[in-house]
Amino acid sequence: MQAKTIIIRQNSSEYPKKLAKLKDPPKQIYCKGNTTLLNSKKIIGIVGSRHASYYSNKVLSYFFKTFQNYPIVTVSGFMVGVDLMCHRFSFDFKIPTLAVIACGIDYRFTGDYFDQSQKLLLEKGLFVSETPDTTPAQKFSFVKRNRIVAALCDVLLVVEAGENSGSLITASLALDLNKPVGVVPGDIFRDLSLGLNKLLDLDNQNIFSAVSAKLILKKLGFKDSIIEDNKSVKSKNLDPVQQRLLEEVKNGAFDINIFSRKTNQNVQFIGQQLSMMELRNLIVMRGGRYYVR
Amino acid sequence: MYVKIPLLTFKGLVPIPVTVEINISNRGLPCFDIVGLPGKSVEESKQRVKTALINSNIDFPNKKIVINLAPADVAKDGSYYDLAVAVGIYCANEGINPPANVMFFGELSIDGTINKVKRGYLSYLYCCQNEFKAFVTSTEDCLEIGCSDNSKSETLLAGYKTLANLIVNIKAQTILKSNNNSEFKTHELKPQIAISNENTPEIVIGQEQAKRALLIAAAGKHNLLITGPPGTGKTLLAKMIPAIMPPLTKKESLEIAQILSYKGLSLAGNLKRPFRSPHHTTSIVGMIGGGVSLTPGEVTLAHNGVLFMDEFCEFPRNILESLRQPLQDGYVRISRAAGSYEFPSRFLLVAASNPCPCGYYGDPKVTCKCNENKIKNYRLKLSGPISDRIDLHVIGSRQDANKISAGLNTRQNGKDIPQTEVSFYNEIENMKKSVVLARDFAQSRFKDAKIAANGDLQTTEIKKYCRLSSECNKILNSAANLMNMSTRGYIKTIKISRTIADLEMSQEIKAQHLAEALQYRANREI
Repeated sequence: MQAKTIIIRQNSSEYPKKLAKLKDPPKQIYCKGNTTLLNSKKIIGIVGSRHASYYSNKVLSYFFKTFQNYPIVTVSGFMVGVDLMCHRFSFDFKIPTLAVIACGIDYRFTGDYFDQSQKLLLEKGLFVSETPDTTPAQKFSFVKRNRIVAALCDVLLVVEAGENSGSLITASLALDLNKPVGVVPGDIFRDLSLGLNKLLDLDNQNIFSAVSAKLILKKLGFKDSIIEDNKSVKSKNLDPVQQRLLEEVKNGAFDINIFSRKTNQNVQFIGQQLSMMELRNLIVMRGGRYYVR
Repeated sequence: MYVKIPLLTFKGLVPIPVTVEINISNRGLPCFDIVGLPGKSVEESKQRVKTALINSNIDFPNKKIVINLAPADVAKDGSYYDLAVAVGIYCANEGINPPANVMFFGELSIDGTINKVKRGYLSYLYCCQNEFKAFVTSTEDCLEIGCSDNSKSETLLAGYKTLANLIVNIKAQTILKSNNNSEFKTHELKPQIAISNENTPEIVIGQEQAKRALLIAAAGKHNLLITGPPGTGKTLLAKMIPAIMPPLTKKESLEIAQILSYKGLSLAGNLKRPFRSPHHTTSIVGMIGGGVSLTPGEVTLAHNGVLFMDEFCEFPRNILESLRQPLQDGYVRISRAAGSYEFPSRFLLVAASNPCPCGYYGDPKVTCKCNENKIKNYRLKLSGPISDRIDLHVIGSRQDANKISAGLNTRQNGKDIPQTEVSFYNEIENMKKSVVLARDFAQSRFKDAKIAANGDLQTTEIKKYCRLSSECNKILNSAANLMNMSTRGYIKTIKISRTIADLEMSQEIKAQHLAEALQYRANREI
C-alpha cells in the first residue's frame, strides 16, 4: 500500500463520534484513502462468513441494486467471503466503502482477489486500522476489528454465518450499542444458516429479518418518498429486442438458448444484442451469465 | 557366403535405413549371432528364424552364422527383422543373391507363417519414396496398407502367407514377376477402403449457443472451453466437432496413417478425424508420449483432430503445463538419453469443466454448495498459461425437458417442419457445410502463407489479415475498458471475430461480428 497513512487521534475533530461511544475506543486510528467517509451519516455494515456461498452473492447483488440510488456508505472487514463481496459490489454500484482491517495499516495482502479490491479501495474508499505498520493479524485482533465495524455502522447486515462465525461477535457488539441488526434469513438445514438462526432466536427488538433492501434503508432512516428509480431513464432508447432482453435478464434465470427458440432468432443475433447492451452498461456478464447493472 | 538386405529402423516417425548383413562361414564353431545393438525382440528372432526355416523344410546350415545390423551404433527393436534374416540365411546358404532393392518385412511364426507387425505402412511408404522395386510382407499387412491411398506407387506390394511360399519364389526369381504365386499383389488392391465414413455422432438438442461456438471453433480452429453443470451434454457437444470439421485432405490422412502405423493401430476404419478423450488420470507420458519403446501420446494421436479433455480442472497441473508446446508449435519434442524425437501434434483442444467443485455454480435452479475460496481454487487451473491458448469460452446450460422435446420435433405428422434460423443447428450437415465454406473463404485470404485457419494466426499476422475499421476499433477499445480485458483477450476477440466474419463470407470485420465475439471471452469472475 503506497498511499499516505493518516493518523487520527481521539482528540482530533476528524475522529468519528460513533467510535467514542465504545467502552474501549481506539486511542488513534490509522487511515489510508478518503477520510471524510469516516463521519458519513448513513453507513451500512455488511458482515458474514468467509466461506460465503453463491447465496450471499445473489442476496447482495439484489440489495445493492436498490442501494445504489441512495447516498449510503458501506463498511466491512476486507476478508475473503462476504466482506470482499461487499467491497466489490460497492465498487460496481459506485457506493463509497470502508474497510476496517485487523492487521497493521501497511500490511501487504497477497492473492489475486485482494489485489484489485485493494487498488480500488485506495482510490475510492478508505482503509482503517487500529495498528500501525505491517503488524500481522492475530485471532484477538479480528475481534477488536469487529468492534470498530460495529461502532462505525448505523445498521448491520449479517448475510451468512456459521455456528461460531465471527460475524456473530460483530452482531452482538452492534446490539450492545443499540444498533439495528438485519439478519438475512437462510435455509435452516445449511451450516451457513446456523449463526443466522441463533441471532433470530435472540428475542432482541433491534434484530430484524432483512428480506428487502427497502427494509434496511428504512432502518437507516430513509423515507419511502425519496426512493427514485433511475432504471427507467436508463432503458430508454432501446429497440424492442433489447427492451425484451433487458426484461428477461431482470427477471433472472435468463437462458439465451430458450430465448432464441422462443423468439425464433438465431443465437448469434441475440449474442450481438447482449454484447451491445453490455457496452452500453445496461447489463453485465459474470461467469458467462448476465445480470442487470 | 555374404549377402545383404535393406531394412529400416525408426527414430520417432522418421525411418532410418538399416542394412542386414548375413555371413555364413565354414570356419569356426557352428553358431548363430546377431550384432549391431539388437533389442530383446531382435535377439529372440534367432529362435523364431531357426525353427521357422526348419519347419518350412528349408536347410538350416550348421555353420558359423553372423548377422550384423548396420549402422551398428543405432539401437534396433521390433520383431519385423525375422523375415529379412530368414531370407538372408537362405540366400547365403544357397549361394544366391537376394533380389536387389526389395524389402522383406515381417515377423515369423515358428511354424513358418508370416505374421502381421506394426509399422508396415510406414516402411512401405519409405520404399515408395525411395524407389524400391518391391515390399514383401504378410498378407494381413498388405491388406492394411491397401487401406491407405498409396496404391499408385511403383513399388510392388507383395504378401505371402508362409515363408515356404516366399522361398519358392525367391528360388524361381519370380518375386518381381506378375506371375508369381504370392497370396497378395498390388493390383489386387481394392480401391480405398480408406477415409472411412465417419460415423455421425448424436446431435445435441438445444444448446444453440454452445453449438454456435462449436461451429466457430471448427471453422477457425479455435481452442474451446465448455463450462457447465453436470448433465448438460458437454461431452456430446465435443464429440460433434470432428463431424463438423472439413473432410480430411490427402496430406492429413497420410499423416494420420503414419501415426497409426507407428503405434500399431489398425488403419482400417481409423482413417478419420481423430477424437481422443484421455481420462484425467492419464500420466504425462501417456499424454505427451515417451516411455521405453517411445510411443506417441494422446496429443500425437489427436493430430489433425480433436483432443477432448473432460473435467479439465481435474487434470494435474504438470499435464496442463506440458500441453503448451504442442499447442504452440504443433509438435512435441521428446528428449531421452537415446536421442530426441519429434511427433506431430496439431490438434484442436476442446476442454470441458464444471463451473465449481459441486458443479452447480450459477445454475438458476439448483443451489451451489461451494464457497468462494473453493471455487477460486478450482478455477485456478483455468487461469494459467494454458487458458491463454483457449480462444473460445462458452457456457452449457441445463435444458428443461419440455424445451428439449420442443427442439426434437423437426418432423411433424410425417412432414418436415420448415427450417428456421434456429433449427439450423439441429443438422450436422448444415454446420459442416458452413465450416467448409468458411475455411475456403479464409484460405483465399491467406493465399500462399502456410496458415491453416484463423486460430493459428500469430500477433504479427493478425495485423496483416484482420484489419479493423475505425468504428470497430472504437467498440473494441470501449469493450476492453469496460470489461477489464487483457491484451491477450483483445487479440483473441479479433481472431474470433475474423472467423465469424468468414462464416458470413464477409471480407471485412463488422461491428456485429465483434459484438458476437465478445460473448466468448474468458469470464472467470464470480
